[in-house]
Amino acid sequence: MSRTIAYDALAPAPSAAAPDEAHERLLGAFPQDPGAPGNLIDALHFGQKVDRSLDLLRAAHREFGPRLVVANSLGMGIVWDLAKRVSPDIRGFVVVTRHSPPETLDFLRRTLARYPELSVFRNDAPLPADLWRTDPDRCCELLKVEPARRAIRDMGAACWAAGVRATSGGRRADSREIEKRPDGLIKLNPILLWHEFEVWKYAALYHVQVNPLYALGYRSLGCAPCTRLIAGNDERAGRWIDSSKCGGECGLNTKSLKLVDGAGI
Amino acid sequence: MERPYFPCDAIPTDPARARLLGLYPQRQEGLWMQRTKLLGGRLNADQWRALAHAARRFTPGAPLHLTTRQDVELHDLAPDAVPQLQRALADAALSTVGACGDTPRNITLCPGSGTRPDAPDLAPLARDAQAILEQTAGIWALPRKFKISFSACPDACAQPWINDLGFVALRRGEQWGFRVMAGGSLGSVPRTAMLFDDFLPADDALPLISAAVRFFAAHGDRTNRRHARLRHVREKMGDQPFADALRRSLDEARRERSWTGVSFPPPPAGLEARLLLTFPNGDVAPDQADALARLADAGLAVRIANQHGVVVFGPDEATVREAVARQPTLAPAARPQPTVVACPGTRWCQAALADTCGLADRLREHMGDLAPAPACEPRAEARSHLDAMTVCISGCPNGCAQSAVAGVGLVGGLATRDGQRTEVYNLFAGGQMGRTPRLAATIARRLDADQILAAVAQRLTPNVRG
Repeated sequence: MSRTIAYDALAPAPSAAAPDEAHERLLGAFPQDPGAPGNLIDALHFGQKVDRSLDLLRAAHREFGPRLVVANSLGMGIVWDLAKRVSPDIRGFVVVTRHSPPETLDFLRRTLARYPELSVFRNDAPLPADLWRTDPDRCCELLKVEPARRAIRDMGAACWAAGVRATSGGRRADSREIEKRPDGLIKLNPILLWHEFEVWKYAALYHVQVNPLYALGYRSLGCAPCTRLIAGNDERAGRWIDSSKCGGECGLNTKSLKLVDGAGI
Repeated sequence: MERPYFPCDAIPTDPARARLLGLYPQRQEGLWMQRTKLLGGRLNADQWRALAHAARRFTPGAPLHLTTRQDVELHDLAPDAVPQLQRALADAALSTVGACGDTPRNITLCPGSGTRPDAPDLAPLARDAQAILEQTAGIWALPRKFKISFSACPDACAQPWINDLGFVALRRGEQWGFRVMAGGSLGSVPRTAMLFDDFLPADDALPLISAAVRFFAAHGDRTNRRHARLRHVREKMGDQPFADALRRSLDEARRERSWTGVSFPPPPAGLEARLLLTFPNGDVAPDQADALARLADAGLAVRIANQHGVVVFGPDEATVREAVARQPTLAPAARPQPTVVACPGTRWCQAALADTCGLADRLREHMGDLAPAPACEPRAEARSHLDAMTVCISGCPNGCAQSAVAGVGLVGGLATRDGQRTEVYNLFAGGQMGRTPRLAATIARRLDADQILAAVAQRLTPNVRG
């Protein structure tokens, strides 16, 4: 196991606010649509969505201060870009695996050159080479979720943000922009209401550097053995093809990110 | 086949003759499209006014439609109105003869021709070419259509690479000549033209046009319309034998008669400034055509471009802008907006499989801020960037919106999804015209409506486009 940057070395002191109280204040400052996000997805135009995403991150930053962190998936980096517009002090983490495509690792190098404050987490523990094939759930758990748990712990996060979008397929439509998770963490999905085309529009308008794999036609990026080029409407249909996880989730956005002593490898 | 009588007394019963008069049946039973043939897209004030009047009188509810070959079409025309419409057009010195069909189509001309000292006015030469072609035996029954374009400077805005013959003016010392491209065409299997001559003396332009069209009449395939263009003759012969044979035909044409020398007088002053007006989906309302007529009345040159635009030329930018600003109906067209070119699609065309204009409207709505066209027609320095931001949408594989050479091209089709026939689009990207042509590469096939916006937005993202 390794991590490149430790929380203690860089982070300011975490906010003293308890997550429950902060969550309530955040909901108060940023009321959510009580229904499913579907209504707002088409009701808001692009500019309104960008403002809403920025407002959410701004409110969370005000509430959680340095205990707000952003998960950068090395894909589009939209949430990371939005967060940096809110405050250059907002920290982020990246999870890479032994199966990350070379294009993604190259993109990581370029991303770190621009944002050296990003922390990189990975799990280098010995594992069966074909675990991705024999037990993809376990593979994702060990290579993606476990390093993310360490990121949350080591960075002292009480609130974290990711780039989940309701229209990207699967159960993501059930997500909320502000989620209080069973693990006690507050999870933000600042671009939950964005269409796929709006993500690209933002990238074009704000000159966001994106993973070069998109130029090859990929629409959802993951580890090399479990990500394929696909046609069809479901953005995530190219993930874990031929497995029980097809089109599903690695677990980073769905599982508890609370690190339990003794868990994992 | 003889030259069709214009104006006609009734729509010819022979579809080939109807097409020679610029008439096509629409997908709406009983309604017709009338195309006018406007050399170089140049209209005077009376002609703009005549088109506006004709649209109000004969096709109320349908706009005038600009084509990608600088023509204007009228749609939703009742058959019994055709003779009256054609008489009205003839009264304004407009013609529809050869606007469609297996004959030389409208000769296109870059709008900037004759507005700068380094961009001579090629309209007189193009008119001579048209006159010579119309006197050529067999011209009304060629194996297939024949397209010619003239560009006045090396920027090559008249798309020489997708024409049967493309001429690009250039000067060597004191001598004017043309870079000549031959044998290009789009369609379901597009191919850009080959370079026929790096510097053809200007005096040889008319002999070459005469020779090429007769060469085509002699060698074009009359048994298979899908392989009947000059480009297919080229493919059958091979590039070099084709060029050699065409050159021999040119030599014969030079000898068979005396040809008038070609000269390019200095262009008139007062056309240095330009303003591009963009008409979404090529739709020009009659009131807008009247407004364009008033600009022409004011001494400005008003010329149709090839991507649903009209370029207004005048002595300086302030004069042009003020003149346009005095025409409120032109305000929407004068706003910078994305270049989204759509063929008529299922709105009118019998061959169309997809609602291209509907998709174009959605793209403009959602992507307009990604691909704003310049207020002025671009010069070469900005050309490649703008080409990359141009979206061309065709409603069937014929590719009439020039999707095959677009920065972002979409070609519509039908697919079965959940038991329902639904519109899908193939996505192409990376095409360009101008000085150096490039066919667009296939990026994705059979994209559903939900995917198209994202796919196009992605292609308009500089970091992805590269």
